[in-house]
Amino acid sequence: MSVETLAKLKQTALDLVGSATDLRQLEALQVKFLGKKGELTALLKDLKSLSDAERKKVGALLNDTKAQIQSVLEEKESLLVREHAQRQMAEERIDITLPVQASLLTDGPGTLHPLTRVQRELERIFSGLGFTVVDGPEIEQEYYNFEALNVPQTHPARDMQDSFWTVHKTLLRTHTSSIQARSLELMKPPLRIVAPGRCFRYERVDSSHEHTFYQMEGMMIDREVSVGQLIYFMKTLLREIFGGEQRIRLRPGYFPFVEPGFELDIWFQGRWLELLPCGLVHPKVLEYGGIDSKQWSGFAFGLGLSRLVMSRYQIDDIRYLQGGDLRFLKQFVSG
Amino acid sequence: MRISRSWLSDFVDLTGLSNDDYAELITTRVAEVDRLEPVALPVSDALVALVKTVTPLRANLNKVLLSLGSEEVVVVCGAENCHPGSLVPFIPKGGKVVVVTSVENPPQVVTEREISGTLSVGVIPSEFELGLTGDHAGVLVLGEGLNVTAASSGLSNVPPQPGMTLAQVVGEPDCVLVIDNKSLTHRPDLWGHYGFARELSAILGRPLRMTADDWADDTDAGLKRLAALGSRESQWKIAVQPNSNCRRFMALELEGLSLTSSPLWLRRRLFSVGAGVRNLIVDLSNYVMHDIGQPNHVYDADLLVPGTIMVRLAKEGEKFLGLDDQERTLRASDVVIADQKQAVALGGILGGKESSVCQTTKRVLLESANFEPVSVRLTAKHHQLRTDASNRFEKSQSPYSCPLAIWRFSELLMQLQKSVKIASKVTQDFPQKPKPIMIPVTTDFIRRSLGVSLDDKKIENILSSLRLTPRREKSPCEYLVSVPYYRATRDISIPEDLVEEVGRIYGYENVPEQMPLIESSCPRTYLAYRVETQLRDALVGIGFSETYGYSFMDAVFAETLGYPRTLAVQLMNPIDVNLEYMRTSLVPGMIRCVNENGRHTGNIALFEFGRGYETEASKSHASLRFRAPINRPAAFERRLLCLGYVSSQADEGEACLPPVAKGVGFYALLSVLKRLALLVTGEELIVEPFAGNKLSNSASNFSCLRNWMHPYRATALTLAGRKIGTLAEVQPGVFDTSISHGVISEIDIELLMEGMSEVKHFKPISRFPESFFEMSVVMDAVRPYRELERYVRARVSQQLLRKLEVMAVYTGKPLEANEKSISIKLVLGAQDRTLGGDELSSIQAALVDGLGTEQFSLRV
Repeated sequence: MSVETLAKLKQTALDLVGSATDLRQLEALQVKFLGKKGELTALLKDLKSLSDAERKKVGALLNDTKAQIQSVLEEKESLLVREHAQRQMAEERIDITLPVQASLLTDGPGTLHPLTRVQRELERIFSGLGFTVVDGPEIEQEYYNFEALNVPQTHPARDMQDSFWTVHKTLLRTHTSSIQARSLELMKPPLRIVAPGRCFRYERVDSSHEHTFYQMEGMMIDREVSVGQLIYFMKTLLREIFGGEQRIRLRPGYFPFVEPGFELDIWFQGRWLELLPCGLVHPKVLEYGGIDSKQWSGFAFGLGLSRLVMSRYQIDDIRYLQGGDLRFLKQFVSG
Repeated sequence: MRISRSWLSDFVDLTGLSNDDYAELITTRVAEVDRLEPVALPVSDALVALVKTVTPLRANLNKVLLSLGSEEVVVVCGAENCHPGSLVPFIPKGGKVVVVTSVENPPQVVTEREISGTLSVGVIPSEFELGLTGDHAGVLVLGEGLNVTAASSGLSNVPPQPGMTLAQVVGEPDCVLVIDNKSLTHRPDLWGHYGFARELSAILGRPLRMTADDWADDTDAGLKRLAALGSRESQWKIAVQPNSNCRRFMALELEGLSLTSSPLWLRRRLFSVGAGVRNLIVDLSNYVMHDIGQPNHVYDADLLVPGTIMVRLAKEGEKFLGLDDQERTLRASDVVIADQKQAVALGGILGGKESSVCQTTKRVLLESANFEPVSVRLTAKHHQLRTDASNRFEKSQSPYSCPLAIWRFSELLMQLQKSVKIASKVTQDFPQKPKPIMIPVTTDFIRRSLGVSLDDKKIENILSSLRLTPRREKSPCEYLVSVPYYRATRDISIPEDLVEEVGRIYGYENVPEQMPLIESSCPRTYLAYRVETQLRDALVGIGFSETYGYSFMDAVFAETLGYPRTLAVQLMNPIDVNLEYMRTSLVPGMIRCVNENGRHTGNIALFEFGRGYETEASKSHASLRFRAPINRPAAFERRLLCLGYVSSQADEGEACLPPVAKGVGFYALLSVLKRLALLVTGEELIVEPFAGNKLSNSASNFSCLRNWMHPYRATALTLAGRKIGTLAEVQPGVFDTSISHGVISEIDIELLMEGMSEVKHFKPISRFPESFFEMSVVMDAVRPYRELERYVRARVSQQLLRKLEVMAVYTGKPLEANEKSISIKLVLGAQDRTLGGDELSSIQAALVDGLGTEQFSLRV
């Protein structure tokens, strides 16, 4: 066996592969050259008859040739597959401009996501009470997420590990309270807003933790807003949701953007359940928004929508909410 | 934070309150109590017994005869420290012992057992088994220091006698309140029992038994008292360097110490708050911190280089060996306490190993200092060294609390170890004296903010009970309120803070609900809000289910689909390497969602409303972007609607109008989109084939074919000339489940709404009959219908052409293989007349005559 024979064999193989037009031909070529009884394999067996030095030299060349043919074969194969797919798709061509009236085939009625359902109910209640539904960006300036809410640079809540930060030094809003700050800046008091939306916290996902969740912020700014009025709105909300008088309690809670600040608990099935944080808007937050805190005051609250949805529908794993599983979604036909 | 009821009772009388009562008071007036933990339950079951005889049964096992006064019992016991003549506790069968200390493992019941032929009728418990401490070394031998009398609580120490209950000797079982530290971040004064006692004293209107506040040197009395402590001048000099983030440093030298273990009552209290036990000196230092909240540290004075103790910033790279045996390399922003030789403590966080109290300690230097909260937090975080001390300093303790630890520690130590003496005067450096805080407030403001009608006197009383001293100013209801040092940290500084104090002590449950008298105004509805609501309802009505996807995207997957990451917003700290970018389109998520659902069902109709995010803002529709206009957006956020549709039916659509041979899924979703567009905008949605194949970097570009799209079943969608989205069938091979012919559409909601007119004017309905005619046109098979439509519309007046419908598409014999025929129907009519036969014929003739010029031919 000579080097020349090998070179000739290689050239023949490459030419044949190059001119192959379908996968069947390619397969035949694979067998012809590289198969168990293929031409190259046969040459490999001849190696035994050579001297050590010769064997080493020719052996290396043989392997190299084999690899080259293999790679050309593979390249050609993927080209043919692509071409085949293109041809097949071309055969599937439809006239997209044709005005066809076709009807959908679906399994049963469509469903609204439970988060949408609950959000709508709350929006309905608050709209009825004169609150405007607003929203804001999900990627936020630090200023609106923290500073303007009286959370100074040194506050532990601003620790890097609690929030998602972008490479542009902005962050994914950690609460809908950022919309408080934006609304104060844009709207003139008196004002009443609710702002539902998606929020993010740097958290590993498990059955009760999510890095993505929903809140609804509420705020009222007027001349003389009191804790008593806050209680009125919260009780009205609960009367609407539950259809009757509810036992609630306010207890002290600390949030930099309210003073005084509370946690509102509701008496539910024999025990107190934490429902939402709320309070009177901190005068500094008003001033950041360009509102005279001597003239105006207000209350604010933040409802955890995801949690409300979970307890309303008795959902035991938060991952269902954004899992996109139709077997979950299809259950919310009504209610 | 763990708060022991017995400890609190040192300071305030809690008699008459059940554990639940006072936990409820703390929750509603101060901070939420997570849970109540009764500790030391077995104490109630134990009796005092005298060890009469100890007879070995076998190795490490003795038969012990106990006298309970009136009777004698036999117990088999292995402890080595059980000697005749000792007084020990005895738990008879039926009583309980602690086996594992945890909420989940309640104490277990003691039973009668025969061991090595001897009947044992109970146990002689260890401190651990009694639930008193963590000590498991031997049985509890009742000696000195059993109860808290030493802590000056006023209780008398009862000497143990056989037959008495153990509770008579060591006190009743305790109850611990567990409070989440997070609810106390704003209250540095509540990081010790004394702080809670102050609150309860105010809430219950009962006096404080120990007035530690008088020791604070923000008053003349406190200063005088401190000056009188010790007689000799101290050999220690304190030098706090400027900018060293230390607000105060004071030290007191004590001598005549020996290292003993702490009495039971002290160890028991430390155990109840979860602190470990070492020796009297270290235990006492911890005890004082949990008692009055002020962290402190004890150095072996003989292990310090005498002279000046410095508080300074560390040198970059300086080494420090902590009490935890770890050596740390410090940064120039870390604060250290140093003698002339080396750093001996990491300020406010951890003491040093080399100067710590040990077996040979005779003389100590007690440190009570105060550090800047932010500096302590950053140092503790950097070195991953959060200690009880750093936790407290992070919350901004008052520097006026420093003397409290000096007093409390020295007094308790001298009571517990008679040989101890104060060696010399207190020495200190106090470079940052906080200014007293005075808050002007009107009682009207307080009443108005709360919405209650409290009279001035009542408000004054509440404030005074919290040591917020109100001084009445000249005009009515005006006051100047001085804030006590321990609340003048970051806690109380503005009138609103006083509203909270009055409100919580008065009780929020006493605030009546109050309907406001406000101007009645209609809430505004923003267009996007209305449109989204309308679209959602319509989609649900035709069988679509709503899903919510994540805002993150798998950039590698998105890129294979044809969405480059170039303009995607990148996260600095993604939760997962595959979720490093914010999604630019909802399509990749929808493809995955459809794919997953394909494992369970063949009919999928999903929609999602969500945002796509990109770094470059397009100015074209910024004003509509949000329900409220937004200032300074941080990124370009688009409101998108994405639809995914798969049906189990075949690709042919016999039932369509006109019937089609393939692509029924595409046409079905297109029909839906056309209806939705008409529904919300009144405009006709037009398909617009992609012009080129160049992939755009921006996902907001709807003019290009993305990799996932079937090239012959994909289109851009336009509305009044604006490209508002795309619709395409998913290419074979993209889904890994068996689903085929899935169709996906993405629409930009704001672009959809743009130019929407609110009111459409009425068009009169013609009273004249319409006429129609049909024709079949033969054309090249790949030529789109659109060309025929254009041809017709160019030749028939728009005023007259009421409707143009496709009746059928035909291929096959006798047509050539590359031909198709489309049958169309024209409905014609005029507003002011019935179209005459001549008119109709000439329209028809014009249409037929021109066919040849456009490579159409009439099929006859």
